[in-house]
Amino acid sequence: MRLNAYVLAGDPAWIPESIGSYYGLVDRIVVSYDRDGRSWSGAPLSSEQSLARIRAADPDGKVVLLAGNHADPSRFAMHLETEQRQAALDAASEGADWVIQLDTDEIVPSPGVFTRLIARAREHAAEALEFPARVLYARAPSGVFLEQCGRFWGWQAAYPGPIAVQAGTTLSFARQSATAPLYRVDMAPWNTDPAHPRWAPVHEVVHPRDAVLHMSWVRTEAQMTEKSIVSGHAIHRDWTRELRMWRSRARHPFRTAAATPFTRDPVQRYRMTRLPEFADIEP
Amino acid sequence: MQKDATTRAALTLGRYAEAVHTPLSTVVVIATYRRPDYMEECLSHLGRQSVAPARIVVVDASPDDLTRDVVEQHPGVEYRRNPRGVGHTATSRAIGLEGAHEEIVAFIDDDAYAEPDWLERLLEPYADPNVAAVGGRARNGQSDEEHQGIGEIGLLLPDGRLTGYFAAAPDRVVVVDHMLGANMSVRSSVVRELGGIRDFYPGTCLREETDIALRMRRRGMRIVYTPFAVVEHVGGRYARGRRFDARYRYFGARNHVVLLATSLGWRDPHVRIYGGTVLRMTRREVVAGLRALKHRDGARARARGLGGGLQRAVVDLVGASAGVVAAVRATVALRRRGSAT
Repeated sequence: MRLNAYVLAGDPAWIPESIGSYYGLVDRIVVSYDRDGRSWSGAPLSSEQSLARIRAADPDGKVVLLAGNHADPSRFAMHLETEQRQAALDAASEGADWVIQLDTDEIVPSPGVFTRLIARAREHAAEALEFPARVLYARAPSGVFLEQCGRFWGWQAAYPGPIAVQAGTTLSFARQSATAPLYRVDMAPWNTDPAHPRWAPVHEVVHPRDAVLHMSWVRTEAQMTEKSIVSGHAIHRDWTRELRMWRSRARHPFRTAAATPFTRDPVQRYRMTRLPEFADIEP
Repeated sequence: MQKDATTRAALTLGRYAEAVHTPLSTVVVIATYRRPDYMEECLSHLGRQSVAPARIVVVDASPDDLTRDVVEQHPGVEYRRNPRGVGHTATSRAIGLEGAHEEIVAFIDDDAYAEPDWLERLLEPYADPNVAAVGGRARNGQSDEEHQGIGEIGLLLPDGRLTGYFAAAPDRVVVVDHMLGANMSVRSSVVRELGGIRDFYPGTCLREETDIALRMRRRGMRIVYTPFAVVEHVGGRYARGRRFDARYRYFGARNHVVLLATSLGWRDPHVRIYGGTVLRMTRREVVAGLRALKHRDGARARARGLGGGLQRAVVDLVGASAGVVAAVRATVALRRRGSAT
């Protein structure tokens, strides 16, 4: 099976770890970026820094740059994101059977398991693979991570959309496709994602250690400040409050984890997780 | 009818392989109970196949001779009796298999009408010697059914439930965990290797056709679904009760536990996990009943909603409990016979 990938350049955090985790699986990585170095909402973006990091993570020359005009403050950011992803996916589909669509802060810890499940999805005539991601929220000074979890600290998956799709798939919203049949993998026999219906089907189970690591807000203070400006979701958040909470939780991980059973919002519940291989890496 | 019984049938394998000459001979077994009209239509369709089976065997569990009269109108079709009567479809399948010397056994329901190239297409995947069994597609006449469930056809889910979607029409042959009894086939050697067909599935006979598939799965055998071998499944009347009534639900819950425990073994994680799934399903039905109190208009509608939810929950629990008892008995019987599964 021939695999390609595409990424959107703009967020420099965790690029070497992310691309490096699946670099050996793919023949080509299409890197889509805004020609003017702007985000979808028009804010300045760290495209140059991202591109420099991507080039540094490409020893075999697999990266193909794809410039475009993706900024338009008058339009809904998610629609612009969908268009940018579609253009990148179309380019990555050439010469591939399936295309990996991971963000640059998402890491594949077990490439073998990941490719096995893409093959399994293909074997069942599915055209998209929903693979669980563990959302890591912050890293404490001690190196411990805060990870989203269930009410009693159980595993909780998140799905930003399929992270691998058949070549030629049409995207309908960000990474999602309205028409591609899904093969859905979770970390337990029953759905663990609170954003999905309780009875969402689980076609296969992987061990949590094999789930994608989404280094969501595991960033430096400067990177978080930039994210608050350029994120596609930026206008829907009270970033002053969010950043204050983020700093506080990172400073007090034990207290944050202890409050989990009493927290109503299922995406605000955290457990403490040790990931020694990423404990000292500068994002 | 017999034109290809002893000669090699030339099969064209479409896009999946080069054309080959295959020596595969096939017996088609039809289990029936009091559906002579459907049987007539079923046999008529089988008589128009592009690749004819070596034999057709009808196994009749009816208490009357109406089906026998129909079969006698079709020369060459073999008629056998199942003396155990209604509720023993698996026994009918086993009776149909007795003395079979053909390489492939195909099963088709009496209310399933085969397309002219049904058998020809059903045999194509056997060109791969690793394929142990092949299931086909059953059109039910429901809108958009050809697109429903692509990507999850015929799976045993990690929570112990099964998916169906045997009306789906993907663009290729796909790997599955089980097949639809109305349209399936298996290598005779595999049936022999597994010790034949077992009948632990009384009542509505739900899951009886899945038993052999999961036993194959346990041994790592390859089962595929071909969307190109098509029958029109018209859905004949039930011998007793209606589809999806409480009796249907009870035997569904009971027989499912028996299926998992006896075909996969008690130590298989699906068995334990399915216990949790039953409890979750029970909770879901109770919650649905309680929600009806809040969301439905009128005392009668509320009472029906609550009663329906509670009834389904109780039926699921009682059925699953009865399944545990039946599975223990079946396991003991198998051990006495000297086969664990």
